Formats: sequence, structure tokens, C-alpha cells
Amino acid sequence: MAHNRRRPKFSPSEIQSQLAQLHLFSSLSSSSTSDIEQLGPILLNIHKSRQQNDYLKALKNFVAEKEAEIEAVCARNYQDFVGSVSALLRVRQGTVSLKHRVVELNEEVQKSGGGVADKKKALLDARRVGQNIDDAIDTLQACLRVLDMASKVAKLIEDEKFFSALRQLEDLQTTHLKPVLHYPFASLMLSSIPTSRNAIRESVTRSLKAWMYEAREASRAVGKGALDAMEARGRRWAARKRKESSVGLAKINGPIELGVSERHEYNPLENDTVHIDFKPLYQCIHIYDTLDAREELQLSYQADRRAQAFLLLSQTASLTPFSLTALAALLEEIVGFFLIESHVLHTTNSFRSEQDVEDLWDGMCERVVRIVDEGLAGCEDPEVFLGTKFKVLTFVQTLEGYSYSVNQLNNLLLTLFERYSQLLQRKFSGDFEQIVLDDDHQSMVVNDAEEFEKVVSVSWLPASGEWSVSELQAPGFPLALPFSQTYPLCCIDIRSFTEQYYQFSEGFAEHHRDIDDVLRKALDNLLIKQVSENIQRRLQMINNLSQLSQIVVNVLFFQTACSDLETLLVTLRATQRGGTIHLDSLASFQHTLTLTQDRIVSNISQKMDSFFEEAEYNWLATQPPPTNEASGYLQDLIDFLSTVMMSVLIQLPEFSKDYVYRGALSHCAMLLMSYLLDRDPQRISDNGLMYLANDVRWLAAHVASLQNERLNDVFVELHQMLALLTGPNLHDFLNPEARQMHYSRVQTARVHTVLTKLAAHYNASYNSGASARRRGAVEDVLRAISR
Amino acid sequence: MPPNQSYDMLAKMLLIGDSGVGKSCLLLRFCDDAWTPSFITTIGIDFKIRTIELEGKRIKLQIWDTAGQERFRTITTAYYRGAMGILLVYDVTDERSFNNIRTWHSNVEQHASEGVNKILIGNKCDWSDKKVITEQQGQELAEELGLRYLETSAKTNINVEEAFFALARDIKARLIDSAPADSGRAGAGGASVGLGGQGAQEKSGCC
Repeated sequence: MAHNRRRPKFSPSEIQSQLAQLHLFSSLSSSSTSDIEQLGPILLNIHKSRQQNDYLKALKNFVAEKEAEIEAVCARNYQDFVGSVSALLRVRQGTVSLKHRVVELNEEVQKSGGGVADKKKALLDARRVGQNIDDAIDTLQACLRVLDMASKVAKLIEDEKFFSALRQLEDLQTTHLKPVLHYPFASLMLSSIPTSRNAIRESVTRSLKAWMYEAREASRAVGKGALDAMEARGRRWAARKRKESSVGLAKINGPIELGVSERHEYNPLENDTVHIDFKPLYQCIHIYDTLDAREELQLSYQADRRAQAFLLLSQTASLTPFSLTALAALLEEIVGFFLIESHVLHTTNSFRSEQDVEDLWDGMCERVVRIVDEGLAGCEDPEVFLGTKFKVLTFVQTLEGYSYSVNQLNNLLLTLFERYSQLLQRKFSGDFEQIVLDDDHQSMVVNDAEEFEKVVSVSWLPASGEWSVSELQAPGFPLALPFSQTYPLCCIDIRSFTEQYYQFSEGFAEHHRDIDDVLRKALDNLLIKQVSENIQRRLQMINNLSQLSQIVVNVLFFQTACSDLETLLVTLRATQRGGTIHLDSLASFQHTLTLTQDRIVSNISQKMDSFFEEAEYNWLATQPPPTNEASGYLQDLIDFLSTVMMSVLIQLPEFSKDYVYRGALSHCAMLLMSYLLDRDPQRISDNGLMYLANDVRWLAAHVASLQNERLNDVFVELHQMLALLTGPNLHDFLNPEARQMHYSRVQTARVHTVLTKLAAHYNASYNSGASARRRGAVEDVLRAISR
Repeated sequence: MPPNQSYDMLAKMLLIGDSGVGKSCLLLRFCDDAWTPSFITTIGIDFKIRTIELEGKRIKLQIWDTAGQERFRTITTAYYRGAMGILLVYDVTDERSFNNIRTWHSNVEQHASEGVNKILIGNKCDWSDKKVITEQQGQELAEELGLRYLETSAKTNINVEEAFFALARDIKARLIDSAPADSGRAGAGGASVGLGGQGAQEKSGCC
């Protein structure tokens, strides 16, 4: 300040001079104003130099000097003295007033200086206040920004924009709070940031839990939608398979099917009825990620899903009583559950552990397998099996599409399939047995085209020949069909068995190559055990030839059916392996056919035996037969046999007829041969032999007249043998060439037997009627072949 | 070796009549004493054998069962000639079958050997509530045609034995009792008599 200036110091001479000036002025006291004006600087100097005392001393000196002068003057000039005293008095007076004036001035100066100082002080104060105000404003603004952010964070949290909120918190923490940290509110705020984070976390966790609850609530609808869609897809695919053989082998979830079904894409998680918004989950994951706490969330999510899965299963711990509806509900739940898992797995970038989902899935599968297993224990209703299979299959197909491993379930399907197959077999066994046992073995009669159509549509008939459809219906109605009712009834059962079988296997057959085999075996088993072998058993009780021949025809039809079935099975089979299918039942029917034919033969043979009872050969006849005519019994027998062949067995096909005919004729030949070879008669005469030879010749001629090469040789051996034994050239038998030419079928041992009987007769009878030459020949040959 | 001829006479009989009157059932009842409710159409021809004893004679009956259906007529007619006795069968519950007896009878007249024995049989007499032909009607027809007459039931075994025995008796009377002693085997196929035991295998006499 200005006071700092150094005070001027006046030397006494200067003061003298100044006072001298003052003195000068005092002489001019009249013009006081200008004197005072002049006095100002002096006073100022005095004041400045604070040499009042010096001035006063100088002034006193000056006064003393002047008094002396005055005394001198006065002494010499009294007058002057008095005049001077008065002048002095005036000066003194002037001085006093000057002094007053100075004091006044000083006061005045003091007074005005104090105002300035006050003002200055006020100014400074004001300046300081202004500064403070500015500072406060700045601070407040900084704080306001922070507060603003904080409230924004709160608002963001309120709006569930948690990520932004976290970012803001982060900003707040790292940048914005720092400058204002010395304010308590800021530190309070800082310390509350973790709480806010926690609040956010809790909030997203809460919304996740809510979401999980919703997802669980919705999962059944999701599953139902997915299963329904898969069912529709399966139906479409099956229809397409039927239409286009080229896709016949492609399976559901195979690349072709996927390509075709693409345009029917159905999103089970997002559609008209179901809408699952995964946002809460994603947000939660995002927030936890941001909070660097993903693992914690993973664990809790995992635990929650586990709990949900457990809950799901515990709700349906067992399906007793087992019902398809309950199973459907359970499967829907499971599908929903795992579709959500799959979606989460694929959209959250390894948030969900694949292993964990797989574990859950495996556990669930195990449970499903057990539930179904237990539920179906003792079930005898094929429909329930079928329904279960359908549900499980759709379930498998659906989840297979989401890359879940379905091995366990496929095994379940296979088990179901096996049990179903057994069930079907049990069911059909009874049916088949009943049909066969109930058959009357009479040709089935249809009265009109409609009935005919009905029968023909289910029965397998040969494609051509007299038993083809066109040939069968040619005669018009009413019509006796070649087969009895057993056949169409069995055909219906076979068809329905096959159908039910494949109905079951449809869809999952692709996975199990051996189901075709299982069907083949089952069918074979049914046909062999229940049809073929029951026919065989039935056979033993039937004596009626027409019924037996009906069985032959039926069996032939069954063989046709077997062949057609083999073809049908090839086309039906689920897995398209090359090659043919071979039914063992074909061989069984062949065996049954043979048995039946043999039974016919033995039946006819029995009747023939009763004709043979009337045979009367005079083995020791002395005269040759009077005519070439055959024995009456034999003619009756052949008449009967012909009638049987023409009428009773008319419906047999040629080969079978031939078989029977041949069998019957062979029986005849065998009996005739036995006459020659049996122990009795022990002796035979040449003429006696002629009777038999006559009959055999007649028989051979009869057979030849039938012009059937399959019968031709029945009597050949007998014929050759009798020709040899009754002919003139018995020795030819010893000539290999002649023997080969005429007696190729003759057996030496048999010739030996007969020759022995002839020889015995020659020996025993005095008059055997045989010439010596004849006897010689017989004995020669007998000797020759005895060697 | 036991004697081949376990009988003294072979009598061939023939059953004729409309389809379904019960010819096969009569035969089944007589030969096997059996009965079956199921109707099995006879196709063509069949025969069964039963040996009976009549007044000390063993008579082997070879009874031929013919198909009643028209389509087998040619075949069955061929068997008329060899028959010694013929049973004309109708169904007492089926008027048509009764009316057709005249036709059957004229067939017999036409195709069978002269003097063949005949009997008229009204079968199913057990079925009284369905019966449409009275015994009286049957009797009258039999008298008109000069036949024996019996009402039978194969099902309940009424008069079956009697019918066959009566016919057998008639045949025997005609062929043995009134014939020279050595013609006992008449009609048995024309083979000579007296050398039985030679050759023929032993067979059961009856099926």
C-alpha cells in the first residue's frame, strides 16, 4: 500500500527554509487563503516527515529569535514593539487557527480516507465473495453431473436397461466420482456402487427366475407343438413315400427328408400358440458377463434346470395306471424342456454346458424307458403298444432332429417292438388255430360278384392258370371257389398281422435292420405252427377224400400265399437290402402237402385193400386162364379208382392227381408183387402165374391208355417180371444184353423167389403140367442166379 | 394163414337220393356208428364196408354212397348196375326230395340190374317239428313203387340198422336162399369159388 513509502526526512535547514517561507506568508496574512494554500505542502511535509516536533522546535526557535529581535526592536522601538506584539498576537492567532485548520483538515482527510478504505475493504470482500460463489457454482455443477448420472443409472435400472446402467456405474466410478470424492455424498455414492451392481444383478436374476418359471410353464406347449409338427411331418413324409418310390428309403431326419420338409419349418419356440422370449436369459447372461460372474450364473442356472427336470419327473414319477394321455403329457414336457435346452445351448455361446444337458437328457431317457417299461408290463392290448410306440417314436424323431442321442430310446422301441411282436403272435396264434380247426374243408361258395370281390381282394391267388382271378369268376355265380374258407380267413389274418406289424415298425424301422427278420420269423412261425402243423393234425382225423383233396388245394393256395408273401415282404420291408426273402413255411406247406397226398393215397389204398380181399388167385391152376380178361375185383378196383380220380379228386391239380394216382397204382402193384414174394403161396404153377400175368398185362395196358408218363412205369417191374417168368425165353435173364433190353427193372432176388416157388411146385406135383424144357430152364436160371 | 374169405357173401348196396337227404350220414352211422353235424357234400362216389351176420351167414356189405348232386349223375349211374340192393333216400323235412324219389326210382329201373332189391328211406325222422312228409305218405309211395319202407334218423340212430339189415336180408334171400348152393359168392366179382386162402392178403373185413 501507499503507506509503505518511505517518509521524507527534512533537515533542520530545510524546515527553517520552509518555515521561512511560512514566515513570508504570514506577512501576507491578509491573503490567508493563499497562505493556507501554501501551508498545505508544508503541512504535508510535516505530516509526511512526522517531524512535527522539529517543526515545532524550529518554530519555537524561530519564535524565540523573533522575540529577541522584537525585544530589541521593542527596546529601541517600543512602539514598534507593541506593534510587533500585536502583530505577534495576530500571528499566534493565525497559527492557532492554522493549527485548528490543520487538525480539521487532518480530520477531514482522515474522514474521507476512512470511507475509501471502507469501500476498498468492501470491494475486496465483495471480490472474495464473488470468487467463492464462482467456486461453489463449479463444484455444484460437478456434483450435479454426478448426481445426474446417478439418477440416470437409477432410471436405467428402472427401465431394465441394465447393461447401460452398469456402464454408467462404471463411468461414474472410474471418472466422474473422482473429482468430487472429497464430498461425503460422493464417497457415499462410491460405496453404494457395488450395492447398485448387486441390485442390478438381483434384478436380472429375478427376471431370469421368472423367465425360467415361464419357460417351464410353457415347455409342455412347446413340446406338444413340436411333437404335433413332427407327426404332421411324418404323415406328409409317409404320403410322399407312398407317392414317390424314389424317396422310399429315405428316413425321417435324413438329408432328403430334411430338404423336402424344410418349407414346412415350424418353430416350436415361437409360433401362434407359444412364444418364448429368451431375452431375460440373454440379458442375464450379458449382465453377469459384464459383472464377470458368468460362472456363478452358469452354476445356478444349471442347478435350476436340474431342479426343474427333477420336478418334471417327480410329477410323473410313474404312470400307473399307464395311459397314453399321461405318457403324451410327460413326453411333451420333456420335449419342451429339451428344446429350450437346445435353443439355449445353441444361442448362448457355451453358456450352457453340453455335458450337463447330455447328463440331464440321459437321465430323462432312462426314466422314460423305465416308465414305459413298467407301464406296459402285462399289457395285452396291441393298440396301447401301437400308441406308445407312436408317441415314443415321434418323441425320438423330434429330439433326434435336435441332435440328442436317441440310442436308449431306440432300444426301448426295439424292446417294445419285440413285445408287440410276441403279443401279435399270441393273438394271431389263437386266431389261426381256430380258423384251421373250424374249417369244414369244403369249397367255399360265393353267391355274387360282391362276395367274390371281397374274397379275392384279401386272398392271394396265382397270377395265371385255372386259379387266377379271371379264370375263377368265369363260370358265373353262385360259384364254388377252389379253396375252403380257411384260406381267405387266414389270408385276412396274415394281412392284418403283417399290417399291424408294419404299422408298428413304421418310422423306426430304419434304425433296426432286423425287424424284417423278426417279422419273417414271426410270420413263418405262425404259418408253420398254427396253419401248416394244425392242418397236419387235422389231417389225421379226416377220412373223407373230398375233404382231404380240399386240404391239398388249400395247402397249394397257402404255398401261393407264401410265395406272394415273400414278394410282398420284399416290397414292404423297411430296410432295403437286396435279395429275396425266404419263408420257411413254404417248405412246411410242401411237407403238409405231401402228408395230405400220402393220406389220400393211404385212404384210397385202404379202400383198394377191400377190393383185394376179393382177389382169388388159383396159384396151382392146372389150366391157363380161359380168357385174357382181368380179374373182376381188379376191374372193380380200377373202376373205383378212376371214378375217384375223376370225381372226388377232380379239384386236385394234375401233378397232385398224378401223385395220388401213382401212389394208389403203386399200392396195387405192391400188393400184386407181394402175392409173388410172400411166404405164401409156397408153390406156384405156371398156369397159376398166368392168371396174375393176365391181370398185370391188363393193368399195364390200362395205365398205358391213360397216356400219362408219370404213371407209365408203375407196373413195369411186375410186367417185365411176369413176362419173363411166363414167357418162353427164361434164359434171356442170364443174357446181359437181353436182360438189359427187356428185363431191366427185374430184380434178381425176386425172380429167385418166384422161380423157387415154381420149382417147388414142379417138385411137389406129379403133374405140374410143365414141360421138361421148362423145368430145365427154371432150374438153370435158378441155379445161375443162386450163385 | 386164416381163410381169406371171412364172409359168406358180398352184398353191394347203393345209396341214392337228393343232395342233402343224409345218405352219407346213414352210411356213417351204419358203418362207423358216428354222426357229424356238419354237412359235407359227397363228391362223386365213396364206399364203406361192414360185415354183418344174418341167420348164421356172414355178409360183407359194400355200401356205395353216391353224390346226390346232378353234376355227378353220370358217374354215379355207372354204379347202379353192380348194386344188389338200393336204398332210395329222401328227407322227411324236404318235400322236394320226396317228390324226386319217383325220378330216382325210374333211374333205378333204367340202369340197375333186374331184380335188384330196394328200400325207401325217409331220413331225419327225428326232426318232427320240421317234418313235412308223413309216414303215411311215405308208406303210400313205397307201396305204389313196390318198395320196402322205413323212416330213419341217422342223427339219433333210429331204424338205421333195421334199414340196412332189411335190405341185406332181402338180398340174401334173393341170392343165396333161393339159389343153388354153390352160387353163394354170386356177384362177388365173378372169380371162381373154392380156392380161397391162396394169394389174397389178409385184409380187415371192415373199414
